[in-house]
Amino acid sequence: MATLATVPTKPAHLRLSWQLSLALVGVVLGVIVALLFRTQASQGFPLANQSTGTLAALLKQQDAVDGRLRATIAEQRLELDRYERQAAAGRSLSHVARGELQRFKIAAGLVALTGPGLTVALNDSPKPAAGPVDAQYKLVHDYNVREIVNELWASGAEAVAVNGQRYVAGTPIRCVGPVILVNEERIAPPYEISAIGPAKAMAAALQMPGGVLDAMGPQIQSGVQVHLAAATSLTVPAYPALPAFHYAKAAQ
Amino acid sequence: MKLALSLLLPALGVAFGIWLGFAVPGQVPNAYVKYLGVALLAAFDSALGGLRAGLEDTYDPTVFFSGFVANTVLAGLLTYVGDRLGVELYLAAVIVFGARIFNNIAIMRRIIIGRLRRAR
Repeated sequence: MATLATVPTKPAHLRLSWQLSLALVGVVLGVIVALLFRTQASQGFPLANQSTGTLAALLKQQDAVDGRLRATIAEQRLELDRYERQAAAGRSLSHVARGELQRFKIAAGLVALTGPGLTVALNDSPKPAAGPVDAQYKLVHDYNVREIVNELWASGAEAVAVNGQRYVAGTPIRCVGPVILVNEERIAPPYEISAIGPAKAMAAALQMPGGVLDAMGPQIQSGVQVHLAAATSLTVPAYPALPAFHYAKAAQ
Repeated sequence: MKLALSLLLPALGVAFGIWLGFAVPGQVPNAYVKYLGVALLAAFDSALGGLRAGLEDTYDPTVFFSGFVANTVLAGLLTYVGDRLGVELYLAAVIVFGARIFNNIAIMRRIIIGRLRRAR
């Protein structure tokens, strides 16, 4: 017993039990750190947290990609056109098919169209808006454009374009900050809506009491400009791409 | 030197834990991220507390493990109750553990500096 008492015990931090228990807690610590890290990493790249500079750079980059893709689309359309023409040459059946195809393409908005119609020019008030409430009255909004386009369809329009963007089935018109997106294309005032169709009927529908332009009264009084003009010959461009269907299939 | 060597096993433990955390499949649902964060603080606090106790030669495995479990459970409970009540009670755990972590590190720093001075 006496010898035991004189043997100096190791300090706690050199004992194996101490090392083992710390190691055990260390394992727990490591697992949690890894799990948290993985969860954070899976949150991806939240755009909302990025600085304006980063976002601007990203936007520029995407615009460049966009431009390249557009060029590809134009190229491939030409090629497709060539194939169609070659296929149709000499064969009456494929000739018929080609005519049919052209009709469907017109209906889908994939062909530039021309004809008489109406243009609606819209512009923000020349006076600057004093605050967000005032901006409600002095700017042309996405919903103004949407309602006018809707009314044009209702009154007989056969083809509609907003600032050169063809309006097709599924075209969104929405507000993104100071600009409006049509077909994912940013457009800024002045806006020009071109509609091929019965000019008189469409103008009358827009100006109907209690109608779309009537509802814009407060805006027009604040200086928003709306100008309707009938045209004997309008051209609306083709929708630039075939819409992609990832979910929808033809039902049997 | 001896201290650094004795920390090899705990360091291996952390490394193994990190590997394990990345190796297991599946993901933590967003609702539990807060709990994980609090558990992380509790585990870190316990580890530092154990380290400090070892350096002060007052280490007791029973105290160490009971502290680890009790702290983690209490922190989780606080978080849960806070979630139910709409009060961010887990902040209490974050502040207490955070303060203790700084405290323990400061004390360990002094002990190690003292030892290094005496060794010279």
